Amino acid sequence: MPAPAVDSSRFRHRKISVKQRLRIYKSHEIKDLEQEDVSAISSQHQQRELMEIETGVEKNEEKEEHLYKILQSNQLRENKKDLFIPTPDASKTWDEFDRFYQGEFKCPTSYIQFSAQLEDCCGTLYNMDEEDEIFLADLNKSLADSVEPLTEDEFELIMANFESSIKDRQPFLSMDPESILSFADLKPTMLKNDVGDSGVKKELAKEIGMPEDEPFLTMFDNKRPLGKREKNMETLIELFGEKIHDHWKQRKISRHGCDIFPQLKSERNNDKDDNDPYVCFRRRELRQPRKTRRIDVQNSQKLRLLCQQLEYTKDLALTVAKRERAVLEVLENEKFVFQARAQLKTMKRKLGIDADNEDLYSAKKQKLVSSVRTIKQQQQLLLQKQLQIQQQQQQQLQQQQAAITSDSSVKRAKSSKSSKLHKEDSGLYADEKGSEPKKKGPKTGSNKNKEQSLSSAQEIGAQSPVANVSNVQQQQKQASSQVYVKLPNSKIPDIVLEDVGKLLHSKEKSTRKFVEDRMRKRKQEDGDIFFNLTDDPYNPVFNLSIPDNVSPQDAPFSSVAGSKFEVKTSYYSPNLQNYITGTANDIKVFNKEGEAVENNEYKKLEFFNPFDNEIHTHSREFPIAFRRRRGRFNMEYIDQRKTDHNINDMLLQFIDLDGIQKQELDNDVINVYDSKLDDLSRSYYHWKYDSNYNIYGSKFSDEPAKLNQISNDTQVVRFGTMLGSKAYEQLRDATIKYRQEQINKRKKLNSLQQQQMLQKGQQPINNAPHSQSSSPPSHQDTRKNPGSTPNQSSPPKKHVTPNAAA
Amino acid sequence: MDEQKKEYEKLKKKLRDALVQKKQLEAKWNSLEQEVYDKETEYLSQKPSSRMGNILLGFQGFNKSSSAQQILSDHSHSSNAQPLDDNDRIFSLSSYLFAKQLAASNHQEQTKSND
Repeated sequence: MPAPAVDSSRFRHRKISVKQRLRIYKSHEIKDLEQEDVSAISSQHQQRELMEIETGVEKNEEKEEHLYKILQSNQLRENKKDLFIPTPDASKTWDEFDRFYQGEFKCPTSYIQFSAQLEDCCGTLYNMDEEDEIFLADLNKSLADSVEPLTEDEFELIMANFESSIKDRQPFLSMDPESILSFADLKPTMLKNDVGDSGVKKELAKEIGMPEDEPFLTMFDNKRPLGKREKNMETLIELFGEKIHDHWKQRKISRHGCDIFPQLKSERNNDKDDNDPYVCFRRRELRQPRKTRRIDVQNSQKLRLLCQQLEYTKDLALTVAKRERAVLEVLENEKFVFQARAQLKTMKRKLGIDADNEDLYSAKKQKLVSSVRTIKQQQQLLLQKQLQIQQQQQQQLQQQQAAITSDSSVKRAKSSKSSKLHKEDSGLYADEKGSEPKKKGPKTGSNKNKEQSLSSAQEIGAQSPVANVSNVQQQQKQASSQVYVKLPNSKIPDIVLEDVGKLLHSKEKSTRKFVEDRMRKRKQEDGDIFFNLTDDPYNPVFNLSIPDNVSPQDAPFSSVAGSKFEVKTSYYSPNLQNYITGTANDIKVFNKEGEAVENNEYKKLEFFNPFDNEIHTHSREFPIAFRRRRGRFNMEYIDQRKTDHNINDMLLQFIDLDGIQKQELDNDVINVYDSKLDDLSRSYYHWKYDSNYNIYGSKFSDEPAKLNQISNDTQVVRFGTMLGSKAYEQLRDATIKYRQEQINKRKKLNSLQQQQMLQKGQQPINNAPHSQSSSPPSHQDTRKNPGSTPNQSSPPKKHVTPNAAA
Repeated sequence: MDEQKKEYEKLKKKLRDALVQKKQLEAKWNSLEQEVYDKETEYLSQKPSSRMGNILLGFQGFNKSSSAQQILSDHSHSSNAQPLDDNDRIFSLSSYLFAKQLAASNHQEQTKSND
């Protein structure tokens, strides 16, 4: 007997494995087992066994006290209601909340963004405790009246300074706390030290050029109460440094050289203590990535680049700040000017002075225009400069040429002129570079420049070719058009543009196709039974004579030329409305000559009303409704009514299904071969699905012209042309054959003549007419040979006629 | 009366000085704007380091080892950089006047291209 089977039901059964050996208990052993089962020893043993079973909880967490208990009770299926993992009570509210969290919070429309670190906001990195408070109170008491008492903030600032300085100077103070530096030693470090952000701020303020007495405030700073200025670090140290140092030193020693302000405990190198609950951040065991020299170099380069980036950014930000400061100055100046002018005006009125007005008003209402030269403008400027240099060179060249030919006085005049021009140009550049920064935008400046260059070009115009001017313009145009990117032809997307004509054309095509499809469908439904010429919407109603050899159902697709069909009569109903309702009684008939013919045969054209169900009858054979109707030209139609309703109703009229079923069910064994029910159900489906129509479309032979998806018309045309070309080819072959035979005949004739000449060598002159007269019979021989085509008969006739004449 | 006249003269002189100062200040302002613009151009078109990240793109690029390797290794591509987008000039655009100028020049270009 296998062991697990013996275990009581409250234990989980282990799976029986093929690989595991099972112990076989003998009968006398079983008794012991049962005893063991009850005994306490065994339960202990079982508990140990229990814990070996996977609990799904991480191994080291299993040992947690509460979890352990729960897991055990779970396995032993004990009552586990009073077992839980204790959690802190979060249901209580804090009474003093309103005291500390005041003010109304308004939810902003955007997300709340905050990128400052905690240290950026909480001021100095030192917080006072009770000991410090007592010390500070004592200190302030002992102060002379003239000295302003030390505030808590200032005290914290100094303490923080001490802490950071000592960290700087004696990083391993905790090894020997007694060796702490004296105040005199620490002082220079403290003065240099930058506690909090005041040093950074000072530096930034200096770089921007803020006045010294003005506080540098960023948006992160609290607004300071007016009048109260932060004391300088130096004065603070001077005043209180000594005293605070003693206090600080005491505390430091009592803390064994560690920070006075408690720090979060974290793991030091290598000494890992899993049992210390106060360690805040534990190091994760991670495999050290392999360091290579390459990675080191890369990383250091990255860091350098990052530093560069940050420096650039800082530089830019500072420049912007400087600019804003400059703007502020400008505005202040503006304000001052305005006020001074106002004062001056009132004073003038008092004194009655009516002169010196030029300072009172700005020359024009100046619009503030930025004159930063953008890259494009700089490029333009550069281009223009180059152009002008070119022009000057040309000018000089021409002058030199002129100098050779003309006398010296002219030369002098010209050179002076050119130098003047040169001066003007250079002066203009100087202007551009910043002598008048506000008055004109760079655009107007460059325009002026352009004008200048143009006018100078015109001045030289007498000597220089006019093409020069246009050249300049062209180049300027090029410069301006460089902004747009030229795409190579291969990259221009290949889009066929739709035009209205095309769209209309395709629309018409699709409607035509739609009508055609509809008509074809109807044709399929009509099948072989109906031949309806009205199918073609493009034809009027015709009475056609169909050639004998064409069967009516193939007629629409027949490739027999349309001329073989003869329109005997055509019908026309002038009132369409009446025609549709079936009440039309004036049908006009025309014969093929287009003359109106007396109409006494048809008062009514065919009209099928599908909703007219009075006419149908039930056949005996099929439970299907048929309808007979007489169509146009006395054509007879038989319509099968669609069997969309339940066919069983109709079947029941003929067969007593219930009876059969009953009879069938009475028999226990169904005889498959004789079963009426089975037979019926099969015939039911036969009726249901069998139809005269092919549901997948008409038979292939029904549409001979629908090969290869080519329309009927095209097929007809193709077939026609094929016949034509075939006929033509035949004709050509025949002609060639005929001509060759003609040539052969001629050759034969010639040889025959030569023979005759040889035979009757004595009388060659009389021979000629003889030979000619002998040709006709040979002609007639050949005429039989070439064959059937009547065309070929005409050329030989020509040959015959001269003979006859002869 | 004389005293008033003296005061008038004094005020006038002050005003004149202020006007002169005004011109100087405006020149300074202008040169500062130009400086910002030029520095910005240099900063934004700085090839290798900018591609790893700058103040506009963020500095995440420095964190990726793969991209860094590429950028540091190939200096050849640095020549064909895409042109600066004027909207990226956050420093220059912090000046109202520059923003206005940019808008105006863009407008001009558009009208030019429409012609």
